[in-house]
Amino acid sequence: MNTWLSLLGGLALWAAHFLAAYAIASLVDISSYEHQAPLTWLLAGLTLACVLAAVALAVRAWRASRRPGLGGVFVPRLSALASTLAAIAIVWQSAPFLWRH
Amino acid sequence: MQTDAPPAHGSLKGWPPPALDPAGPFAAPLNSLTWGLLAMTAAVLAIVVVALALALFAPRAWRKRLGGERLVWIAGIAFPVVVLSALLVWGLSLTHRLSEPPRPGELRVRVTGEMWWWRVGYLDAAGREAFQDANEIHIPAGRPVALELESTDVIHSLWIPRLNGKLDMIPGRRNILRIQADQPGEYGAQCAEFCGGPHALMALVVVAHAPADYEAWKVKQGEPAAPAPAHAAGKAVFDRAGCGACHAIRGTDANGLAGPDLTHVGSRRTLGAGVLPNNQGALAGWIGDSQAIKPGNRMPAYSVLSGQELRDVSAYLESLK
Amino acid sequence: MNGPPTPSETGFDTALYERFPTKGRRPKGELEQLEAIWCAPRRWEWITVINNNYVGVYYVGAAMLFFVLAGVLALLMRTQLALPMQGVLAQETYNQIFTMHGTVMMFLFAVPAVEALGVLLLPQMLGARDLPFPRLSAYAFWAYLIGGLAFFCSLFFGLAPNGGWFMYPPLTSTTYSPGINADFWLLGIGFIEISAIAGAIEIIVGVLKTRAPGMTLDKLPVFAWAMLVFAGMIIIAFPSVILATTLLELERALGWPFFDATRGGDPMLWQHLFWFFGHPEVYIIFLPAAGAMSTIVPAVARTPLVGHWLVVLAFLATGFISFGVWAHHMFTTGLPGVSVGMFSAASMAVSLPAGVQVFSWIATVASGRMKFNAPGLFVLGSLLIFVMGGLTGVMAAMVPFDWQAHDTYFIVAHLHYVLIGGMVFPLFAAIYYWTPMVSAHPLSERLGRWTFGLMFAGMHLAFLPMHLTGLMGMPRRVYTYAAGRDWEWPNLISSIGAFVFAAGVLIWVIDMIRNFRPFGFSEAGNVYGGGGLEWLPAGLYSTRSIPVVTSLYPLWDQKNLARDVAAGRYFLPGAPTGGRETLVTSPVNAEPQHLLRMPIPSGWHVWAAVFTAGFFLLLTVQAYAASVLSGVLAIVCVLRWCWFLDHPLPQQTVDVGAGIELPTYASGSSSTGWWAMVVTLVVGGMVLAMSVFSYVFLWSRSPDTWRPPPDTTSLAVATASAIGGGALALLARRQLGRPWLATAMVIAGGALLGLAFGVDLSSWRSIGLSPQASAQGAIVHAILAWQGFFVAVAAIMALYVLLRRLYGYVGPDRPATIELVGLFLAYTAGQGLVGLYVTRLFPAGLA
Repeated sequence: MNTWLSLLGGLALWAAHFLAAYAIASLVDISSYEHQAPLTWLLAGLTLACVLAAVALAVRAWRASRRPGLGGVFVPRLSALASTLAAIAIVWQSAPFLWRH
Repeated sequence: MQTDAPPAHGSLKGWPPPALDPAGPFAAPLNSLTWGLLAMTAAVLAIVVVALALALFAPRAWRKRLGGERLVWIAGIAFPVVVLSALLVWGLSLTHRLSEPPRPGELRVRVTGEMWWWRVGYLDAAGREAFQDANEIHIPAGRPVALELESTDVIHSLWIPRLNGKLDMIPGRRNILRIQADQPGEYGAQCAEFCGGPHALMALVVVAHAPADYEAWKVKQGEPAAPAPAHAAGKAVFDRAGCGACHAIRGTDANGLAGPDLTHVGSRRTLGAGVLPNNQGALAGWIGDSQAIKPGNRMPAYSVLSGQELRDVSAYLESLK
Repeated sequence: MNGPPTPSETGFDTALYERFPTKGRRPKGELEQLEAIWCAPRRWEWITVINNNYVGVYYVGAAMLFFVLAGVLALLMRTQLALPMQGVLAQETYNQIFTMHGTVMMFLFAVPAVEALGVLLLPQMLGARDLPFPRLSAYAFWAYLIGGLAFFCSLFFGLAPNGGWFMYPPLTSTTYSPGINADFWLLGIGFIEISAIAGAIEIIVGVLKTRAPGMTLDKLPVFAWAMLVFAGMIIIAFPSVILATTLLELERALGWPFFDATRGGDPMLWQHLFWFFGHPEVYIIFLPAAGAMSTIVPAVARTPLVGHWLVVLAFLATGFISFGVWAHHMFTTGLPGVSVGMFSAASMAVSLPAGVQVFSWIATVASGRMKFNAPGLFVLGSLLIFVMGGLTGVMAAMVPFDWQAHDTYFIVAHLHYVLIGGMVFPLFAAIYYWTPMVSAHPLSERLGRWTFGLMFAGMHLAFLPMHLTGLMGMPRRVYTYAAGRDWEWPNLISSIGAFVFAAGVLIWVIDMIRNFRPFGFSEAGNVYGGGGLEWLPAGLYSTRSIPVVTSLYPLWDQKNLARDVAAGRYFLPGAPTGGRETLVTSPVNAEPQHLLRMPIPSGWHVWAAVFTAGFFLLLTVQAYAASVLSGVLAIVCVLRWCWFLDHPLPQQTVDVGAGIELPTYASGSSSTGWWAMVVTLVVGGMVLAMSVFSYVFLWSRSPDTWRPPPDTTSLAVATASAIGGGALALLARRQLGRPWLATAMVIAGGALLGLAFGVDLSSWRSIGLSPQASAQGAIVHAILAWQGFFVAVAAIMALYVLLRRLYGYVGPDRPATIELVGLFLAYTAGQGLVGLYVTRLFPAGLA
């Protein structure tokens, strides 16, 4: 189980962030102007937390790849890069909030 | 080949490609973006082709340098991240700029997609519909106009490539498409979302007038029809055949709502939503057998009318300028 | 990537691998026994075969048949569009044909073709004797073939769907599509989705659980990785379209207004549900093809794949991120700007993995020496075409550009570049590459060059001009166009290109007729020099023995592997239990766990497929009584086929080679059945999740019309009985020592679930919520209907357990059936609770 969690953790984080950001974007759309700012801050906080978590996962996995457990060096290396990519994608999908009306 | 046949209207030509021939401030940035993206595409394709050619045919030493994970890291990850980040910022800022809501007091026109034509209502300052027209949108040149897009049947999509991108008309929703033509002129448009049957034959013409001409046009269109006594026979055919059940001609008894308003049909550029050029012969042909011209459209073929009746009724309609 | 030794996953001592290859001669008669057990079908048995060596070939063949049929439809369309205002096809016929072209290509060709490739190749690549549920894949195949042919034949009666492959309501609602054409789509495709999901379950469990010992995740062939992610994506994506088709059919048949804006529904809901499936679908098709590319490129370049792990990462990333791009088909619907931007960003992100793969292939070509044989040419062609389609995809991901390009021929060009470059060319490469594995002769290199050349030239001739046609203003899905709009020349060129492409396919068909000779006793063998296990010498039992794998390319790196495997010097050289069997291994390190006894051919799955198809087709033509009868017969056939399962063998453990003893019975998470059940329940859970999304979505469209929920008494009663029912069923497994008690617990559990469902339903009825009157009524009843379906299945399962008890088949020696039924019932309880609380607490509980 741990192997799969570490393999897919970063990408799962991306998915969770996407879901939350989609929900927040929908709320922004139906909210009045004064409610939009707090929602955007919520998204910003969430993004920061998710990016930090993804980077932490990446670092952890990279370290783990030096002392391989179940899954050899293959799984931790994959996990490290997947988490890095997830962090980039998380930043990208948060960018549109900078351009709300 | 029938290439020499003119289209129903000159604005519906495909060359120069209307998507690359912007005529207003909403379409111009789309054009620059398109060319920018085409350049990006060409450059990346060139890189791939060169890399592949080297991988296949280059001397061994070259191929050895290409044949490692480093290529994937640089060309497959780092380079795309940079390019895509830049594109993303460009796209987002442009999207934002182009989806500004209309300003207060901006001219509003309500365009309703129908199977398979366009109902066009001109709104007054209070947002009430002043009068209706069909299959043509008239706007003043040089200022933005907000089109309220709606549909009462299925999903349609209004696309005026020289003035802006397309936007869907969805039952139960109202979308706002802003357009502006910098110069007076005529701009073709088309339904872009498959809406069943003769979706292919659902075009529209946007006519941009010089501001003064626009005001004059508006006054004229707002007036009821004034049928000349000379066309009494045609009007009688119109009434007898029951045309008024679906079509309205303001100032007469005809008050149907299902089909296009015909109050000033004689002044339109095309018939059947951009299918035929508007003239008396085409009108007679359309009334006599519109199903042969635009199969599946909602108007039955009036083949029961005699040649004389068709001539009379088409002359009457043609006179409604 | 050979790191230091890794810890064991299951407690299996991997040092035992050192015993292989074994020394000495194998006992006489062992091979003959294996051959007799896996014998070829005789006479009519070719219908009832379940061996993947047969079913896989049938499956690929059927998919290619639909490719050709849908291709013929494309030629008809291109003939109609070659010149303006032609009358080759009437408007209605054209609309049916373009709908069928898209639908057949996507649902009857592309997904089944890649799934078929998996069924055909995976057991061989993984070193298994067969897939874990061969009868299930045979069922999936027959259901697909029968359903697909019947669906296609609707064209000949003018009854084919005509609303586009995307089937947007309200155009497809009864108001605007009163005929049964749309029902053919909804029921026909809904049914084929079931077949796709069955195949996906098979593939997931197969890749995770039936690998050759030692085939750890880093030695898992790249194609198997692709198929694993592919199948996982099907499990997540297809439930959405199953829900969408069900909702639209409910709206059409019963008037429940999910998409009808006049009664509180919203046509946009369909678009969300459809594209949540529809876009991942593109990657679902692309991934296995990319997996094939990543297998074939190294083989023809004679060198390992450069950046294998990066390619695997690309699969995983695609598998996730492609679920964040669905709304890029909806940029012109007026979605709010921020959401649109998010989908644009995700669309950019999903192109990263594609770039990784492309450059990994180029690097591999550079590091090896490419051969320009038929698979090599198709691989190179694919790479170029796919890159072009990918780049126009990045263009279309830019929202403002998409406002111009959307629904024009530019997109037609883009999607054909992506799908032909990303799937069709790799598939042809795969067919040329793997034909020698199943056929006595390889396909002709000479004809292969012609096929490639014509397809490549025809492809560009047909689709390159369409980019321009689109920018010239030509919308998609038009049955004709007026003369004088300058669209004549590009269209004529496109039409010529389509016929050139078709000529290439025709030459391939001729090649197949001349050279494709499957099911023989000889195979052409490894003519392209691949390094995977599928090139080991094999019979109908797959390989004589199942090797210990120590490399990603075992045939290149493990000396004498083919010889030793064929001599039976590895695992399972014979048939220790005297029946069909394969090794079940652990998901990460592929350590042997137990021996799986596999089914033998029988007609039940074929009948089940016939009656399942009958159920859906008869429903379409509104023969309700016959349809129900057919459905009942299908259930009976499935139960009869299950009846053979879960029978422990007299030998509790057997020697699987070199004195290693493995159990012959398994339950719990080491068993294949448990995995399959869990994956099936994920499908159910995804339908539930999408229903909840639909519920919230519809609420947001008309919050004022939402009525308060029923009283809390019914909530309490339903909650208590659902929890009680689930718990009883789950705990039954612990009472197997007292078989009647365990049986009674399952039955009581089922009854309690029924009670919870009944209380929930009647409480909504008692406050007068009507499914026809409002979107709330419709979606609440839809969630209830989904729960009702599960409760009905639970009831059938409980009766099945009772029947097995009466035959003495419930007991401590065979926990699997009770355990899986318990899992299903517990899930049903949980699903009921989610539905119960979502519909009552949202939005009322927020206030």
